[in-house]
Amino acid sequence: MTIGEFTRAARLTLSLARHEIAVQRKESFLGLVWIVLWPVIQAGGFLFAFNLIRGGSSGIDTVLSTYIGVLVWTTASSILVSNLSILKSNREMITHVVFSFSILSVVDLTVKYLFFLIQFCIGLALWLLLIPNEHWYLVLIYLPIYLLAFYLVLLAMAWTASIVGVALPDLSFFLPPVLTLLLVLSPVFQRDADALPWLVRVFNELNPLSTWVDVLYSTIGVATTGLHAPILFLALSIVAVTAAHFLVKVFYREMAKVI
Amino acid sequence: MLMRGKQTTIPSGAIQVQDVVLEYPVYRSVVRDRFRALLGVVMPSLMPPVRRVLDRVSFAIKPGEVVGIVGRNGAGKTSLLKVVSGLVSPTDGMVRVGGRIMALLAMGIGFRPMYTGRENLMLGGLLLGLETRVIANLISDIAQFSELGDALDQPYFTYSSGMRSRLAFSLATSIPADIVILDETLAVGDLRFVAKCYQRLKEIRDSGKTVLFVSHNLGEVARLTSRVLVLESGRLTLDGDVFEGLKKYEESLAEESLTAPIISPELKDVDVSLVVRNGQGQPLKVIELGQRVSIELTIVVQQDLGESFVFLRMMSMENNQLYAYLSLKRWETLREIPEERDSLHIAAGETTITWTLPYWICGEGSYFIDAYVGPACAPDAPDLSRGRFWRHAVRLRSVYSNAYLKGACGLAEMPVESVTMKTVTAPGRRSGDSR
Repeated sequence: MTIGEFTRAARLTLSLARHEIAVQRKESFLGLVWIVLWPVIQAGGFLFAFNLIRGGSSGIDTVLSTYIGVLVWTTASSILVSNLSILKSNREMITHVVFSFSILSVVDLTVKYLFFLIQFCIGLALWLLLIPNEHWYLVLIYLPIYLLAFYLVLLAMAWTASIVGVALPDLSFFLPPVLTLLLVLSPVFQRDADALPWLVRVFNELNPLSTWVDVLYSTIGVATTGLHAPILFLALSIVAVTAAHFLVKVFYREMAKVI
Repeated sequence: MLMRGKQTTIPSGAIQVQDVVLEYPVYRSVVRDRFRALLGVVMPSLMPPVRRVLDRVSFAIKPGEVVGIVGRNGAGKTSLLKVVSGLVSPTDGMVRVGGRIMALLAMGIGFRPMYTGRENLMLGGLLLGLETRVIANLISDIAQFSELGDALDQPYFTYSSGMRSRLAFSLATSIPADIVILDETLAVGDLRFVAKCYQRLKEIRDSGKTVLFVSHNLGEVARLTSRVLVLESGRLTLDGDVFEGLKKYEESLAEESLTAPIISPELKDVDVSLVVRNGQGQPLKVIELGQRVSIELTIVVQQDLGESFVFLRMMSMENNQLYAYLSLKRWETLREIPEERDSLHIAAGETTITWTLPYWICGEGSYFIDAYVGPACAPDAPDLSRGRFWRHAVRLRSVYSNAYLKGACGLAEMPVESVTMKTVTAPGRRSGDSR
């Protein structure tokens, strides 16, 4: 891909994402207010259910880390679930309009990612303001690396999910409850990993969403957990997106016949 | 394999299709076979059975040519357009295309219901690879052509089907492209807009762009294109002159109709032939508007059929609409002449009925005439299931001798000067009945 092609693709993605956001704004009374309101309600609900009722910690650091963890988790899981059916829901377009339909996943991801960034920046600002961190400048240096890696790994997941979703449509029904269950067992709510049964620990280690939350926590608390986590994450995400792009090239070529 | 102009030396606007084969999976269970079809991409042994929709199709189109593709439903026309436009990759063979393609394979597909018309134009343009600035410049032209006015800023879901087609057609034909591909896209919208669309297509044709055009409207194919590809069951059976191609297609349609089942088995020994002649008695296939013609129906039977009901109906080949009805009665300004008979006795032997039309009034296009012979019945409630239709007993092309008449068409009363009947009975005895 040349720089010109990349610029065109990026411009197209941003234009389409802007239109999608405009439509989402029109489709509810509160419009874009939901970008802020929705994760607050969601994280608040989870906190209430799993921490306060159970008598866990309700300190500001718990609230903010839960908010950020839920945000990462729900962004990733909503992108995963929506991309499982993205090709089928655009079947008419794919079979009649000549365009590079790998853009569908990119646009869906970009819209959700832009919302994530707004929600995340609010949480991060509160984190840096309310929780003393002498290495805050390192957070600001390494966080962009994490965010880029997170975007790339989500793209890899979205493209792969779009292909898998055509082959295994049942996943659209199976995954949402499983992902909610895994969130409950994840480091977002289970901070003391050693206290968990070994099977849950294995699940958490194998589950990429848990890893992404862990890496973010490491990035935010970079002074204590090391600098390598976001850089390693970026390297892995580049490998993942390259592999997913290869899958797209192989399978999308036949998709208009199969779908 | 689809090769684009940049990678090859093919000139801009040219298309080369060589031995193209396209196969689609045959689904017995959609989910299972789709799973197998996807795995088959990397493990061909898992591929479900396939159906061949294009079979070794080859042709080449030069820049600026306007080519029509005709064929029956399922012949592979749309599949061919999809392969040429790059929407679907061929199973085998090679497609080489020079320059940018604008393909309109369906009206309004891809437009988002919640977007306004203007936003959808922007979305469509972006998906087709245009810059935002270019699309913004095109939008005023599109708004003018589509005549959508203020509706352009209303959500797309509020549009009628006509408005949707206007928006899609306007976008597709406004985008700068070297090759324009259109699939049955003009069969929607009101007559005035359809006429406007054809005018736009003519402008595209005259601007030197290559156009690939699929339509069942043979009159328009004849008017717009200079060359026709005829597809039958995925094979290219003719690539050549437009009239030759349309004739072949019409013949294939007629063959299909003539093999239609006989409704009434007791009429299976009846032979019918139909000839259209000019004023000098010579057989005609092409009739000029205003020309004097006679239509001669000959019925040959081995046994006496008794009192019979006979009529002809002339249908448009393009839209299967009834254009004229000729019975044994003459009609004057849509009122029948009461003293005339509507049935005749068909004795064993040969009966010829001749309708003389002082002037031919059917508009430009292709027509076929069906003949019906059946037992006499009440004229106001005829039971046609007791008789037999001879579908496509004759096929005609009507043309204009006068340029001012172009575009005129419609159902009209066919003036009949006389209807004559003549019977030659089986042993050679001759009897006549004339009006």
